[in-house]
Amino acid sequence: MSGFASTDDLINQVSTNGNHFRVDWQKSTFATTAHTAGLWYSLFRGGGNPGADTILGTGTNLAFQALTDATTNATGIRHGGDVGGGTGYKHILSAAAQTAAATTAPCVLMLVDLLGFYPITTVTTTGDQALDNTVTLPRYTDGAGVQAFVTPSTVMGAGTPNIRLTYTDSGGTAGNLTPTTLPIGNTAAAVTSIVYSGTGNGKFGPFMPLAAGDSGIRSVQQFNLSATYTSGVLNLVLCKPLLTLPITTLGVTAERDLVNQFMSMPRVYDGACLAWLMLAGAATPVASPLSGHLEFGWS
Amino acid sequence: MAGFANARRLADAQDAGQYLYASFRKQATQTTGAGVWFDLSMSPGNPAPNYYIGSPGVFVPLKQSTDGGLRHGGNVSPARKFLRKLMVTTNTAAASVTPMKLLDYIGFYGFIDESVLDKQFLDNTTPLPRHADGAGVQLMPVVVAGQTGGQPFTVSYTNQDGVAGRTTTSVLMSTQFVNGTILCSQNGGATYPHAGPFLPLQTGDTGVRSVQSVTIGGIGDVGLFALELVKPLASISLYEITAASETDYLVEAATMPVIEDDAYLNFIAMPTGTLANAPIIGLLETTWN
Repeated sequence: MSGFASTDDLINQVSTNGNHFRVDWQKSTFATTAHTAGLWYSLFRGGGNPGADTILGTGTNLAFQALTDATTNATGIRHGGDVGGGTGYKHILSAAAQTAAATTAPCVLMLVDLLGFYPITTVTTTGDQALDNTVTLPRYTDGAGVQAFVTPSTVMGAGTPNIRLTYTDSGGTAGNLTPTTLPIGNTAAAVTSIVYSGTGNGKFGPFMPLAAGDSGIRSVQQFNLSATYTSGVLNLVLCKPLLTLPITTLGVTAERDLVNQFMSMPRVYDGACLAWLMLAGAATPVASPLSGHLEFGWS
Repeated sequence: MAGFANARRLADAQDAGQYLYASFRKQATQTTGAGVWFDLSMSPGNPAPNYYIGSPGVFVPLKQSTDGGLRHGGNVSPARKFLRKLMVTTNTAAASVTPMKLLDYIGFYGFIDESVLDKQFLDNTTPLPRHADGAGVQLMPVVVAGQTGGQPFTVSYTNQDGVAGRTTTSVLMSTQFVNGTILCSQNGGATYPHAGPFLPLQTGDTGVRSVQSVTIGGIGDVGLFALELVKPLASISLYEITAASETDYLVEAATMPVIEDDAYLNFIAMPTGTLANAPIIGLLETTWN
């Protein structure tokens, strides 16, 4: 059986077998997007180490594209490469993050494995738009725990459309709909923002709500805007959330021990494309830097 | 086999004396920048400062036996040594909220001239003394003669798989200029998205085996820097002046970083105030088996 059989085995794998990887990352909020308190944002396109992605918004309109740690122009946080062709078990053992940028704290970071995205350039089209699922999920193929969010790669125009998905859930049931109240997109939503996040009615975040009883998305068949977004490019991104990390205070490192403190040890699959989402707790200037580290162990 | 097969072996090793408590005190004299990473190896205290002395552009290895650094005990091969615990504290309020990273300083290329706009080729006659395959090794440019800032630079290197011709993302020199400043670190601003302590490697790379050249762009600058190769080992933070900060890397992080024989260890720090004249006192505990 793969995975750590015991605490002793974890100690042995990390210390004796050297099955350990540490990455020190640094990401800045997007260069032209100031964050608004209460909204969620993706740091995938922020500069830093690794650098900004340039893949969102590219490719065939409405067609799913898979993301891996080897996808050109997808700049996921490194996690130590493959461990056993999919049979090895890699886990996140600890995580930390901090910022010294004014008004960046408090905030909540969420680490996600970005599985892929549907670029949507037809943002003036109302009603259902059929999505192309020729390419399927590269990881979490049954959709268990997979969530969706919508973020622009080109700033959106005027509009506050309701957003609805028709999807197949992780049990394989097709035709499920985003429940009412539907998420409402923010007008002129900025690049990297999650367009329906916020603090008012019809605001959700960071993920699109699922139908009652559902816990994951295997694929999305229809994307629906109730009204025009006038201009811009959206991306419907599928991801697997792995951990959350609240930063409370400027300069104070947020730390998570995922073995002894928050026993979860999220699994990281071969090929994972790791990125941070961020819930802004304050008005945050553009290009505000955050940094930290992740530690991984595997059997 | 080197390492610990289980928790019992850890306890046995401590009982058998395979354990070291080593104290340190680092006290920066410079007025550091808030949110800007700073190299404490250049600061006075115990151990003594490192001045990045060497011939320009020539790789110089750093070792505990010849250069000092934080004490961690002698060589233990064929056993393996681990960082078990760290404790840090300060009684200076301006330094009391400061994230820190413990690094293995593998070596450096000295005195890279920021005024030279031609490609500056580096000398790799001497190999890396540790982490020779480059796995996890990062590039950290450290100011040794102050600059104005704002000019771009890139580094051409061989990655952890031995692939040459890799190039870092172009980054700008910080406007923070005191010696010990990490040259690529700046606390925000749209022109400084790469604010961390390490140069962003080319996409897909996780380490650096050697550096072939440095290219200064723009109009150049007036300073000098040392290009340090480091392996990040652990993190810890100063939180307040009334209590020390402690981390047990086995219990609280589930990993005990490996410390190679003869490693040169020291800290970098990112103050939210200033480190000027702030003594950072602490204990470093290692165990081996």
